[in-house]
Amino acid sequence: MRWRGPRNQRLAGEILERRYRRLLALYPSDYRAAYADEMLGVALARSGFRAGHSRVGRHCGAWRRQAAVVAADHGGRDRRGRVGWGAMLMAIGRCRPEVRRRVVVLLLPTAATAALVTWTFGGFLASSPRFVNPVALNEAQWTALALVPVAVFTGGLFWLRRYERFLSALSAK
Amino acid sequence: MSDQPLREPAFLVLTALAGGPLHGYSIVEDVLRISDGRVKLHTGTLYAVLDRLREAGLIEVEREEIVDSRLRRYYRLSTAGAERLAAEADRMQRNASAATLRLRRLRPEAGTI
Repeated sequence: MRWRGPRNQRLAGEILERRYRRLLALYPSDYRAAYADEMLGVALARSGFRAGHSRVGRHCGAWRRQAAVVAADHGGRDRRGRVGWGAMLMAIGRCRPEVRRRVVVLLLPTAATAALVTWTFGGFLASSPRFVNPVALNEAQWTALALVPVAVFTGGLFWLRRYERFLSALSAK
Repeated sequence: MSDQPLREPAFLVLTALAGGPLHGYSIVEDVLRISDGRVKLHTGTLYAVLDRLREAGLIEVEREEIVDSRLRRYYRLSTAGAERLAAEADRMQRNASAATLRLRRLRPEAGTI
């Protein structure tokens, strides 16, 4: 469909701008505050969109390439080099559903260990560097560190198998 | 960024700004021209490079304008940026000369490469 006529041209421009704004929302907030407005202008100019001569669909290619750059490039990191959650979620979101499920299960042990350390060993992490003799973890803490990732991964695999069996049973009906 | 050699996009952005202050989209176009159409900077890549160069003090914001109700920021090369670009160009020149010289010795009968 050609986006001719002043109203359609305006609409086409708005659609494209909205898509770029959604993409910009994935950048870390400090980066967005510094550059988002400027980047939007460049992205729209770079996409080659010209009112009256353009199809929005054709410019989706530029948008998708830009999305891939967000997922893979510095845009997905903040200024301290941390990977933005938006970029990570976007990268996972672009996978096929079965791949996405496996990525989530593979990430579970790391997420569980991070949560365990943050919420359970927070005091230990804060106080240990201040003592001359380092404070050792006790048996229960070592056990939790060893078992929680394995247990979470096993649980994730169990859920994955059950869920995929359910999906295949659903499609067989 | 000070010890590492500049990556190609950063080198090309500095080269574009050596010609005078430019805003984001004109940097993209100039880099395309300088590289004979080979390097097309994506918006995300461009601003990642600009952000790093600004943090390293190699470029600075010259002025800001509002065009079609959008912010347009002009960047210029700082003194440190000009020095860095000159040093980088010199380093690349020396490497290229060394490579050309050795290739000539490798194939003397060819005369020129």
